[in-house]
Parts: sequence; structure tokens; C-alpha cells
Amino acid sequence: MTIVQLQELALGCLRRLAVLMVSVVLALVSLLPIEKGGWIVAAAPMVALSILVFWMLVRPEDVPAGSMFLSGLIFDAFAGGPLGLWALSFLVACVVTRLQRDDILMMPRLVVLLVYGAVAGFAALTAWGTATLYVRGFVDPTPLIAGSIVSAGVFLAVSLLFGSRATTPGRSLGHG
Amino acid sequence: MYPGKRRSKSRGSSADRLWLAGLVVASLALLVLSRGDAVISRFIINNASDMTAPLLQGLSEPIGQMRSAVSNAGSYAFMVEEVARLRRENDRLRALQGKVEEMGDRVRRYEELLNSTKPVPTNFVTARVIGDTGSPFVRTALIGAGRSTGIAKDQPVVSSRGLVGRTISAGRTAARVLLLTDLNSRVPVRVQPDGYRAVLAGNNSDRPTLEFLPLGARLQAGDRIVTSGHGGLFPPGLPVGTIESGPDGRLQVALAAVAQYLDYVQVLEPAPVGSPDEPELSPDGAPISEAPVDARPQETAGAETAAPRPDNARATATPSGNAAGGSGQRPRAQQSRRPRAALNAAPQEPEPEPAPAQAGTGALRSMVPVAPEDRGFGR
Repeated sequence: MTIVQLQELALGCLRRLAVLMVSVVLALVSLLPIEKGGWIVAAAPMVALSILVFWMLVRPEDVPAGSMFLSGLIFDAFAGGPLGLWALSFLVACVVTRLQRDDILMMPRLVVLLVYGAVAGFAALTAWGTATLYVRGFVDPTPLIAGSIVSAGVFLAVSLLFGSRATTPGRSLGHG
Repeated sequence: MYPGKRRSKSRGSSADRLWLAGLVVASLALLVLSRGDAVISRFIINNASDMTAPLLQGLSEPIGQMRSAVSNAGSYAFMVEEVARLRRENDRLRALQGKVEEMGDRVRRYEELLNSTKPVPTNFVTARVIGDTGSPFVRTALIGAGRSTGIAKDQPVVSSRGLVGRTISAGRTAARVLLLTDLNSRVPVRVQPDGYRAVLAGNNSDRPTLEFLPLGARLQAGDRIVTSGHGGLFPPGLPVGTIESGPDGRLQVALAAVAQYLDYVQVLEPAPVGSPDEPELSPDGAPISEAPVDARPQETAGAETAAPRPDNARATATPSGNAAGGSGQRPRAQQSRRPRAALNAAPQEPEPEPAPAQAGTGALRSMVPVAPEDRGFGR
């Protein structure tokens, strides 16, 4: 193995780790004992999801399904809730994004945002449905809805900041 | 998309799909395991808490200082008003102090006359709240003390104002507390002064609800809610909150210890096993230190001098069955057949603001509390 190959391997590992670090940092932020009225808590996993989905669109090789699973699991473990809840939701988002990826890349930015809204909606619905089944009772979905809206804003910001630079072979996100 | 790699991509996609399906199955398996409180789920959560504890502990200190600085700044702005308010409160409390001391003496004399057992002093561990709830579906808090200081699962947690919740998992250096507001929190309580029994049920909002109130229970704003001690998890008499009139006129529960303002909490030694309804038995099976059967519950007996309540402030509860932990209403004669120790246990006075992260007055005894029925998260 040449030095160049080793460098590429190390960079690839770092990029994958960076994806996980996003979740770790956001999960830690959601745990900080600040008077936040609950919105940061609700938004943190969805914000992480928005960043992961964006990354999955522009660099799918850096966000494998295993990373999505681990990211969700990090939120579950840090929150002390049922393990697998956010992991499952992130995986659902992963499936939906992968299915739509080729079409999304050709769309204008506004439509991409709408598609992200749908992806976030699927993930939030999965989380809410799983939580409802888990406790066998009604769980208030308002924090999730608020979190999804916040995450859509973050997705737009991230795509505006990095969308033009982060390119896939021959294409860029939001420049259809 | 990737010219020349179509064939390998399709092979990879198939493997990817399989891998994805495996991960989905793993997620579902983890959910099932969490529901069953499996060792692996506890292991993962406890280790995650332990790993984050040092970082959160470091961060929570400046955040706490910032919070108190903001709070102090607000206080300075209204200092004149605050001093006047505190003076009024001081006068009111001084007037009450004499009454309380007199009543305390009277209770002591009654206890001596009845030869009742004294409430056992409770040991505790004081810990800082280092982490807030981390999910929209759970209401928990992370505290900076764990198994190394004797904390175990299912121990009551109180703040200087009242009951906060109970521990649901304990790592080596951190433990997680299920707050009263969590959807899975169920605490057997008593509404004072009438002594109605109920179960305080969390609903993931700041206002938990009272369930399993007896038929015809009449509550009014200002009624105090304390733990009843049923189920054996929480000692009786811990202040929980008060009944308040909501903006729409409906009665609701205002918790004494608001989760958002938690700084330090005390983890109490587990309450002794057994319900207050179960009389203590001597070795030959006969009840000991049992009071004469009284037609009235103990709590209502002291309320006879209270002023009559206005009818317009009353709310009638709906009928319901027995709650987890035997919290449903029982016949009155049966209610009075309780050990005096439980009935006479004075509500635990709020402790003064504790010193940071100190150990309690002694090592926590290892006891097996009776866990309440609990529906899910964080078991």
C-alpha cells in the first residue's frame, strides 16, 4: 500500500468519524443543563439528521448505513431512553434518502428542501410511532414537529454554505 | 452515475440492502431488549452516562454560575420589591413558627401516649445535576454520583423543594433520574388535607395529572400533594406539589420541584419495604403498635377545624379502580389500620441548600425496594 493510499484511507476514516462526532456533539449539547424549554432537546437529533442527510447526498460513501445506525444509537444512549428508537428513525431516513438521491441531486434547492422535509417527516413519524408503541400510550408529537422545522432551517443553512462546494462526480447539490 | 462501475455497484447495493435490513433488525432487537430492561441496554446506557459525566460535570459548573449570575442580575433589578416581599414572608413564617412548634410538641406527646414507633431518619447522597433530559420522549436528568457513592436503581430523589423523581439506572460515576413529569412516572400520593389517595402520573408536560382519585373526591386549589408511601419506593410525606387553578379554571398539579431549575439533588436511601397499609407483624403474626380503629383517616382527623370550603372551588373526580401500588380508595376502617409510624411520619422538611457533591450522612444501606409498575422508558 502506497503512502497516497494510506493518506486516502486515513482521510476517509476521519470523514466518517466526523459524521459520528456531529451526533456526539449535538447529543452532548442536548444534555447540558440549561434552561432551554425543551426545544434544543427536541431539535438535537433532527438537526443531526439534517446534517447527515446533507452529507449522505453529497458524499454517500462517507455516510454508510452503519454510521446512521451508530449516530442514532448515540442519541439513544446519551438520552437514557429506549435504545434503538433514534437508530431506527435514522435508518428510515437513510433508506428514503438513498432511494431518492439521484433525483434529489438534479432538483433546485427549494425542492431539495421540500424533499428533506419529507425525509425528516418520515424519520420523525418513525420515532413518534415507535415511542407510542413502546409506551403503549399517546406521546405528544409537538416537540418532534418543532424539531423537524428547526432541522429544515439547519439543512437549508448547511446546503447554502456547503452545497456549491461539496460535489459528487459531475454534479452539485441544489444546482439543477 | 459512476461509469464503468454499474456491475460492482449493483452487487454492492444488494449487500448494502442486506446490511441495512440487518441494522433495522438490530434496532428493533435493541428496542425489545430495552423494553425488557436487558443487561445489555443497561450496560450501554450506564457506560454512556459514565463517559459523558466528566465532560458534563465540567460544563455544568460554568453553566450553573452563569445561570445564577443571570438570576442575581434579575434579583438586583427588583431588589426593593424583593426585600419587601421577603419581609412579609418572614413575618408570616414567624407567626407560623410558634404554631408549628406547638403542634410538634403535641404530636410528640401523642406518639408517646400511643407508644408508636419513630420515623427512621433517612440517609442521603447529595449530587449535582450535570445533564438534562436528552430526548423529546423522556424526561430524565443525569446526576454526578453513581454506584461509587452507593446510589442504586429505584431510589427517591428530592431537591430542597420536594420530590424530583427516582433513579432508574446507576453507572459508576453518574446516575439517571426519571423525573415526575416523564410519561412513565407513577407515584402514589396523598392529597392533603383530605387525605385522598391518588397516583401522580407524568405525561411529558410540566403538569402531571392525578389518576385513580376516589369517587367523589373534591379537590381545590391550594391542596398539597405528598407521597403516600404506598408501593414502598418513596417514603411517605415527601412534598410533591400543590393543586393550582389553571388559566382555563381547571385544576392542575404544580410540582414543588421544577425540573428546569434543578441544581443539586439528594438521593435518599430506599424506603423500607412494605406498604403503609400493611401492619407490622410480630413474630407470632399479631399486629404490633396498632392504633384503635378510628372511623376517620388520620389526615382528615386533624382537618376538622379547617374552614369550610367554598362550593364553587370544588372539583369532582372521576371514579377509577385501584392503581399500581394499591393506591385506590379503601374503606375508611381499613384505612385507619395502618402502622402509626407511617401515619405519623412528619413530612420531610426541605433540606437546606446542600454543599456541592458531598457524600451523605452515611453509606446507603443495600435494600430491595418494591418497584412500581412502570410502562417503559428507562426501566
